[in-house]
Amino acid sequence: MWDGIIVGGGLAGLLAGIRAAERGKRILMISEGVGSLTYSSGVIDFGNVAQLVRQDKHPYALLGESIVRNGADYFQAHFPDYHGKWREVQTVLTPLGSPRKAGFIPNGLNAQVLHDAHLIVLMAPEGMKDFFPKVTKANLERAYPQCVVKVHPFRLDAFESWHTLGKPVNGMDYTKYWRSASGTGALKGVVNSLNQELDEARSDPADPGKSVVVFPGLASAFSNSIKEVLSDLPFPVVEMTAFPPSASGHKLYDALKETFGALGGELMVGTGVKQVEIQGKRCHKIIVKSKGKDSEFSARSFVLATGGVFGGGIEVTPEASKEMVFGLPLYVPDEWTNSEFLGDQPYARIGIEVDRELRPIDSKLNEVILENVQVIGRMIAHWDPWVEHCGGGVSLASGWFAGETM
Amino acid sequence: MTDYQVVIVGGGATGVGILRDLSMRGISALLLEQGDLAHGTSSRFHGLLHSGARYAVKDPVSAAECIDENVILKQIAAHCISDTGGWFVQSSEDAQSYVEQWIRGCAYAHIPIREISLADAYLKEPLMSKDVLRVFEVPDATVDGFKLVWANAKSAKRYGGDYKTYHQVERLILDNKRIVGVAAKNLVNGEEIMVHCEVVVNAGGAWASQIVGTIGVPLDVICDKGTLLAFNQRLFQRVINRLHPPSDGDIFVPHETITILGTTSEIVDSPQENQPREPEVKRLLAMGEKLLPNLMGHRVIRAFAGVRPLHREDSEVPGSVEEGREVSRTFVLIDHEVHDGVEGLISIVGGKFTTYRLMAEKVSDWVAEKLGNTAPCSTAKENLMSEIPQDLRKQALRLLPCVAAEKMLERLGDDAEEVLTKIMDDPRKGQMLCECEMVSVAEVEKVASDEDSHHLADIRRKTRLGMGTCQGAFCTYRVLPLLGLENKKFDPLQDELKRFINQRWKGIRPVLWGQQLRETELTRAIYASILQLNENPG
Amino acid sequence: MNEQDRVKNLDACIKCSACTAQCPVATVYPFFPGPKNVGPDAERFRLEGILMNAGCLNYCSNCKTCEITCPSGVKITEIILRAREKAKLAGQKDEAKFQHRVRDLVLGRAEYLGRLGTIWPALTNGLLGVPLVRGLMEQTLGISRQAPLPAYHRKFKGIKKTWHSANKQVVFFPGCFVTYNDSLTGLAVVKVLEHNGYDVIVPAFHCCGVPLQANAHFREARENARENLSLMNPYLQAGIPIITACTSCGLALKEEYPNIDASGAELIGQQSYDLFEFLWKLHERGELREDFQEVLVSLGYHTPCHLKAQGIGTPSVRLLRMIPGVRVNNLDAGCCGLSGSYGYKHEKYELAMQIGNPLFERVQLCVSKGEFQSMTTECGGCQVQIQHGSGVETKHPIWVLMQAYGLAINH
Repeated sequence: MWDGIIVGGGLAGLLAGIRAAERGKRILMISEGVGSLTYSSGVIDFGNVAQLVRQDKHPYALLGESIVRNGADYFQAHFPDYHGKWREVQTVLTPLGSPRKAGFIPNGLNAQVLHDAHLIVLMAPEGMKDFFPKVTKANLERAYPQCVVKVHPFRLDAFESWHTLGKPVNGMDYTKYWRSASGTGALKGVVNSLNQELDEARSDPADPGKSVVVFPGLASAFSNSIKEVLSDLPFPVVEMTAFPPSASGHKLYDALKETFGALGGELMVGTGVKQVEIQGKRCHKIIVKSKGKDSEFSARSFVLATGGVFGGGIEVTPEASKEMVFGLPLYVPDEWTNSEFLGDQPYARIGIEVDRELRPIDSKLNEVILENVQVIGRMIAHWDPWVEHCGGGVSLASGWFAGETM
Repeated sequence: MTDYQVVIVGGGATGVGILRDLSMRGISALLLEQGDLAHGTSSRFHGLLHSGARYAVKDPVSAAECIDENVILKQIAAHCISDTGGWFVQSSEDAQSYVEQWIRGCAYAHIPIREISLADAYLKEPLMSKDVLRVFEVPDATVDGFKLVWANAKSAKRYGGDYKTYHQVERLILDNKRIVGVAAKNLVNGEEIMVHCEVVVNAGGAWASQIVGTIGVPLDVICDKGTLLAFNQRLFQRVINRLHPPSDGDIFVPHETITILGTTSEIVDSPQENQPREPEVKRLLAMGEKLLPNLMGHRVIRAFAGVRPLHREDSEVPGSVEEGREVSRTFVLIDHEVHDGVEGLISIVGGKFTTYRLMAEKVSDWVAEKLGNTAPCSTAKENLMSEIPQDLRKQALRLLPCVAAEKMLERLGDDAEEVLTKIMDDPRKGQMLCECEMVSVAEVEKVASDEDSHHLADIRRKTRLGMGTCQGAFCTYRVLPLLGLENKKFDPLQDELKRFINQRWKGIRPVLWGQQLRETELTRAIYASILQLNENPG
Repeated sequence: MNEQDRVKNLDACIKCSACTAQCPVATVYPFFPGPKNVGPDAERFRLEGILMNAGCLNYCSNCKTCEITCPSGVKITEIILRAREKAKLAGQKDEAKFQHRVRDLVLGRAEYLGRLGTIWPALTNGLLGVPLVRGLMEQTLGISRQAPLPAYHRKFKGIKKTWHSANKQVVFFPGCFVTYNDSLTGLAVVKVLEHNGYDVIVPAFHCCGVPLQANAHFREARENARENLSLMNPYLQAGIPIITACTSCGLALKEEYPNIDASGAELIGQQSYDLFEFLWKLHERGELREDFQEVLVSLGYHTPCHLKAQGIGTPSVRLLRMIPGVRVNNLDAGCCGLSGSYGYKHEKYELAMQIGNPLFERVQLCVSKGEFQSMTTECGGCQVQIQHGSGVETKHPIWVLMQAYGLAINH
């Protein structure tokens, strides 16, 4: 018998698991694949909290501002590799080099320093997939018109056969390499050569301006060796976010997983729930699809963190929409789409309606459906992370709350 | 004094077919197209190269034309055609009497058919419904509308023909009831041009009545909208038709990596009404289930619609004109001197993709006679594209993964050499920019630099970029650096990017469920969250 | 996988590339385009009749990391294996040299090799220890001279015992590694099960077929499966569980065997258990003997890829943590690189070592910091490779349980 079973291993599920395990609970987490953090840029967005806590039915409004803040504080306390202040807006660079707003960001991504820079050196690792030096340079010049932007191409022996073949090196492979013993040495070499170049620039009395280095595919957060190399430098380094799969997002996933494991939590990846057993208003057992047969796990309480439509927690067919684990009723908007792709899309608000304890409710009867099940993250109805920019905030707040109360 | 002897309006299959035919006869001709070549109906159909069997019962004339052209096109346009063969499948709901009529019709039109045993049929097409009574093989094939249109245009160019894309005809110019020229506007830079000529051929398809309308000549073209679905993978290896009177959702066409299910038929007011709608999509799926069970469960990557031009006066079939399928699809050639007293103007309306060459031949015969040219038509005898040299193929296979190499050679023909040189100079350009459809960076770069490419969608049509599973989620941003930051040929990158994903969205909206909905979430995450394109930079 | 499932499996890919980013081979080897490319991407073209070069496909080590990673549950390795078989049936010429084909024949038949080796283990081991012999093997067979070929041991034959009808029974499927290279672990498994009141039956099984499949001998793999199933069938019909201690055999029994056209196939998935999965089940039912003695040991634990793929979590970690004094650090540092016979191949040895490098570095770091002294993992191949790559002793977790129960093997 487990104290709690969390279905889904994304940001919300993992944070719930960490908090619950920290409270001494025996927690099993079941996850279909790597959670969606690998597709995020590793940046945590909160959106306009003041406005969203007043928006009817929004998860922020259900939980209240103090819980949203508790989730954020808890995350930051456990992951000091993240930078940011409550309700303060940070700036990071997109993978195309434009600035974008953010809430909490991995240390090293803070682009604030670019406002005072006069020279930006854009590091251009040879053959890096989904990195476009020319476009990035143009976007940096547009955003920081006071700056001269110089592109600094470099190539590494380690990827020589990739370059010869013309095969791209994906950003995550660059990150992996920087973290290996030989990679850290190579990184020192790369930045030191830059040091000399910048020294010359600095010694020019006509231009005493600040130089900043912009670096794609680095992801120094959660890596002491990379942080060490960067801390010795006389100039600031601003890392860029990346397209999926993103190293920063994946490193956050690893860090959450490791913290959860160190607290005694067990993570079962690559499988999903096939069936649940319910008695009255309580779930007591779930049946997991293992290879060849099913495995059963009993627990006192359950958390549903299966990531909405994208995470596979909600399946939509031409005829119906279905919550895949408990078969809970869903809020499905009448109008499904809107012609502007990046505008407000009603479909995105599909989800499970919950009470203030995050338990699923039948909204017509205003009755809790399952008393020992909490619904968190993208499974909750009535929000759209892509227009409200609050994906991280909802996940942290609801995850923390479930971990605290389960 | 004229600039060209002939101006052809409309860059669909018929238009470019006429351009090629006239050019081969030594008649100087210019084609004007308001968008990109093949942007309209010629690329918005199921991609079936008819054997004629589909018309065997109702329209024996069409059927006979189709089988003749089918044989010709398989020869002259082999690189645009995949000779998959096709089946006509009688389901338990389909009448035996119709089957017998159909067999007689095929015999009458000289369409070869062969009955296949059910055991053999299920072995070859394991997904096909088990509720099938009889299966017949016919020489159907699949044809790529984009490739065929471009191959015609390129062939015409070699014979001195000219074409201008993104040129909209403003009005036809008359001198005393005689055509003397065309005024058109370059939609890319707003420039007005005037072209003098002796003859105007109106091959505007669904837009044909708008073109002659500029001089007040009436032309009754019925716009028949047909919606189709594109499935993520090849569900069948050959064209599968239902053996019953043609109707909605009764034909599956495997096309490159996807399967197309067609087609609905609905009269609309104008060719602009080419938005696929959800009810049509559901109707298609419901009908398609008869041939492929659990169809709803298979991934639809997009819906699209084309508007077929049908000529009302040609309709001999009594009954409601609201039902587009009841109007004959045999083409008509209208000499406006006879009908409207305007000399030097001819409209070609109706017909079908499979018979584009025949239509072009008839039009060109008329034009040639008018101009006193006696050269015979030779479009059926000469291949559209020369054979790809063996050493070029070998080189492609050495430099690119075999899938990418084969596909590029099919698309580019001789132009592939330029792409291969790029890759040789810089092996990084051999990377796949579009991983779903395996299009290399070098190929996209080459096509982007073509003078005819003005929008991302033009590149898409020529390469299949963004037409695969991800529907542009990843390749849209990857293509940006190739659009040339220096030259101003393309609109500002962010605009181009937003326009492209919004165009893709049009086709995804009516099929937004299942895996394509997940894909959409991922795409929105990339553009709205990672790139925050829906926010002002902060 | 039936045709409908095959379509669904391919449709589920949303092209996110997470699999390729996590693929242990693609990360270190530029010639392998990665699971996304050779799997779902190329599959859409294979359906069109365009087959890709078989050489590319052969670099997949079948570790299944991609499948576990995939957020859409796409059975990527399944697509790749089918493609390899398709390429083979299409008579596509493998670029591999003749030498490699002979080698793949040898490595694919761990069983025959094992039988030879165990006839006179001391001689075989002696020979395999001679650099000249390994040099010759590399030259003639393409089996890397550096690769950690496991030593042969006296063949594990199980224990012949009359059945006590009163006792509960299990069938033990030892797998080639235990049978030919590590019979002591086999004996330990039997001891622990007997200690818990089970009679252990060990029929004369053949190789499970995984190495055959990995070396593209698909027909032979299926034949082995059929023969094993016929040996198992009477027990399956009697409801007796089949236990494996090798995670790859276990995965084959659960994933491949149910698709074999033979009687018993419908039962094998339901009735086969990983050893610790079985013991954990006993624990949950209150049937496990839990009178553990204290064992003061700190261990690093490596989850074999093929255990992850079984979707049962890490029951051995759960169980070992119940023993007083035992501390287990679950490393989660990726694939060891060996992947059955993959890492023995001359052209893939370096690659396998590079793949395992993050794991080896992690193990060495933890040992140097005193976090643990030795490693434990269920898979025999992983044990050999981790020990070879990191120099840290690595054994099957059953040995900790042996100690906790105060059991020993009597020679």
